[in-house]
Amino acid sequence: MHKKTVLALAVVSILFLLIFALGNAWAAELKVGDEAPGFILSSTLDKDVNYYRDYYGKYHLILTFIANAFGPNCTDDVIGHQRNLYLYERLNTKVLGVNRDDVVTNKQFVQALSLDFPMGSSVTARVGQEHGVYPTQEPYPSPRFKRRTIIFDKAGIVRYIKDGSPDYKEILNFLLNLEEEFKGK
Amino acid sequence: MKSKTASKWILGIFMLAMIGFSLGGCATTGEKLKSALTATDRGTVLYEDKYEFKPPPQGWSMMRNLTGGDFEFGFLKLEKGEFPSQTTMFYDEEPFGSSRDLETRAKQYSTFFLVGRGISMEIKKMEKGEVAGRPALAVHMEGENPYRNEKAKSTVYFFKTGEYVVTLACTQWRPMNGTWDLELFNIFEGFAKSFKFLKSTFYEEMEQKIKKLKG
Repeated sequence: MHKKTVLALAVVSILFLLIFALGNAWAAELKVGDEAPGFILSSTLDKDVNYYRDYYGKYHLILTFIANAFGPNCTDDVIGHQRNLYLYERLNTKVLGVNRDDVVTNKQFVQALSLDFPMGSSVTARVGQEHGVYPTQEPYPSPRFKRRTIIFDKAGIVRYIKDGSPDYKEILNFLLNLEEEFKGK
Repeated sequence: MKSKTASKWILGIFMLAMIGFSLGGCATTGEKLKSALTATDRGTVLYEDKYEFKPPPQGWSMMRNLTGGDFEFGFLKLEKGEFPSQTTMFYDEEPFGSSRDLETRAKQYSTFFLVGRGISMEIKKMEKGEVAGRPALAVHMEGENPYRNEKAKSTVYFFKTGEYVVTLACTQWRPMNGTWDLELFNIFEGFAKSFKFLKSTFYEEMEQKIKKLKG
């Protein structure tokens, strides 16, 4: 009886570890150099945004994943991009915010902050999984996306990934080099 | 008994070492902060090699943002009286809002500035002026949150480096029944009116680099 209990506990522990490891592998890991996963999302533009139709081959794209509309850090993240939008435009770059809020909430968010770029609503988790922002492990497993900045170049390659608050100066320097690389292409 | 004594000695030495490390750390930090300002013979100071301005008198502590964020550097004066009684002034490269039109930016700023404290700032007066040799908009605003027993009064200069908007701001916090110390705003005026950029800012340089790249 005692042996059986120990065996059962061992099996449960192994299963738990396997599930945990698989969960991590699932959330991982978009890397610099990978091909852009692409996405189609409902957006605040009253139409879907489609990576391969709207951005690929035309613009570099900053994807700014945020946890939720109106969250203090998330608000700072998108406002920071809005401040630099005039420079991004000169560097042939578009911005798209992505979170798990619905389009109605995101429309209010865009209006309140006077954002000139759209927010995409990823009400299912797939886009988050493909971009490594879901599920989050810390501090607790959360249904929200983690904050992450990803840049796809015009050719659809992942060129920059950074978690947490965006470093706007680093992003501008990065885009300047990127645009120089793509000059004439 | 012997081993207990030895343990006490080891613990004592360890704690002394820790205190030593801590003090060493403090000294390093102090040295770094001290070296941020260099006095000139014009009655001003240089902040790193980037800005020149008239510093506030003794009693103001310097604040530096070493990891990036809301403001680059500034000064804080903790005042006598019930909390919150303090005044800050700082140079901010990421002021609230996003518009490049100064008046619109001032309105956005007043909306977001102290929203986290439950204070909605009301613009009392806007006037055109000049800061760092550039056209500026001086905005005076006030707000209060009676439920938290606090109120705030700010003067903010909005101006541009290149096309990018930055601010010099002074904010005074008081309990609801507190009185404003307007003399501290005069000190801020001295700071703001003497403020100079010693070299091009990041945004001015970036705009030039983009212009060059695009031919």
